[in-house]
Amino acid sequence: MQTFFLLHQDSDILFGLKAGYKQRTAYEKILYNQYAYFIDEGCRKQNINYDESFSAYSDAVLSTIHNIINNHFDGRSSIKTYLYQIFSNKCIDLVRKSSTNKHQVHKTMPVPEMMNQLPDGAKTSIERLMHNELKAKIRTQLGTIGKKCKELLLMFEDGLTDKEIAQELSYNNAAVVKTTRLRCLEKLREKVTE
Amino acid sequence: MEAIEYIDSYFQQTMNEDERKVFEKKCEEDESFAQEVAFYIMTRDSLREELLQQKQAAWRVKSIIDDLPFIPTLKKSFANRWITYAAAACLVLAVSVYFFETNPSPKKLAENYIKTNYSNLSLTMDASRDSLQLGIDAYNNKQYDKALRLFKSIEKTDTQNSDAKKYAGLTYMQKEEYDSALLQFDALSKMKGLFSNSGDFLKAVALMGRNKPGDRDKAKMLLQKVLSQKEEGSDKAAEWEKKL
Repeated sequence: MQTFFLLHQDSDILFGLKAGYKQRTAYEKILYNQYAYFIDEGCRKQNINYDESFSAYSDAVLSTIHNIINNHFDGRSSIKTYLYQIFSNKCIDLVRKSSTNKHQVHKTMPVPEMMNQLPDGAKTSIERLMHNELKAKIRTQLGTIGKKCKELLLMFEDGLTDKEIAQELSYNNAAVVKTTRLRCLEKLREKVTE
Repeated sequence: MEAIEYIDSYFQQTMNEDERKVFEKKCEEDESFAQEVAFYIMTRDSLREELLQQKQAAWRVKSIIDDLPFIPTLKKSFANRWITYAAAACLVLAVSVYFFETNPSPKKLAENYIKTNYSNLSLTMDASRDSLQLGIDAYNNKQYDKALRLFKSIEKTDTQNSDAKKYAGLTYMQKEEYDSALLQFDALSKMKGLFSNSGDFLKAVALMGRNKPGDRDKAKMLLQKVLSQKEEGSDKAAEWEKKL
């Protein structure tokens, strides 16, 4: 039988992240701490400053966590390799962004990951309608939709299902959560377009 | 709200292939719909940014390392950096021990169970079951390959021997050959007329030990079955079923 190692094995981290929300929160921090040395490596290898490397690393950790929860991580590589690949790509994106200055010149915004679900034709149509001013307005109005709405939307964005949110926030059932969530989005849209 | 629900179902991937194609075409041909989709995506992106800020704050919570003389800075020396890593490793170890011991994974539960209950098998007093006794003896001496040969040979000649199936399964568990262990325990669980049958419970243990995607849920269902039908292993099943 396997013995216990100094650092958490992948199987333990995978189990912890897929457990209940409280346990998942603890394992998120364990995962973050276990490979936090990537931040220094990012500074050295990608020639970016500490804050940029930290931003890329924490973003990569969040992406990794969500992919694990949504069963997009197939386990063919170790979590370390998987996380490092995502982290490297985010560092490269940062370097490209600062070197070309493209986004300031054309007032376009970085492409959100969700856009990759769309085929090219639809992607092009949507992308030209996205701009920084609208996004800034959305960010501002997020603070005005109410604490409950914001909490619910953030939990959903964190990968919890409607059923899990119902358990955490004591809603009657998943259907109520879904309806409430969509109403919150509708509320936000009305505030943004006012 | 219908538009938002429709868009939400696309990105939640609850649509079938035809529905997705209709959605994607609408994005290209209907400007006002495309604006709704753009709003949805930007909102989700904004939420992610907000979420990331919260996570960063939580992950960066001040720890005991910050109080040590060699506080990590942007310009720390090479030696200080490695001392910091060592201190961080100690902190990770302390947190790991705490969480690992209070919240063991299914694999750890399975390993501990086998180690505690099946490190040794009890020798029988029945002289007519020599091969079984030799197999048990080999198992207890950790000669697992030899034990397996003996148990498998008994199985071939005596297909109704539940002990041979069970012990072969346990031997596979010791060798961490979980797929083979599952086959043995599955055969055991299907045997009729036994005074008590631990097949379903041991199948659950093997699934927890194997720990592949989906195994946890299957193990939980088996433990629920063991509980509801009051099969052998009910006590442990009651304890583990809550943890899975």
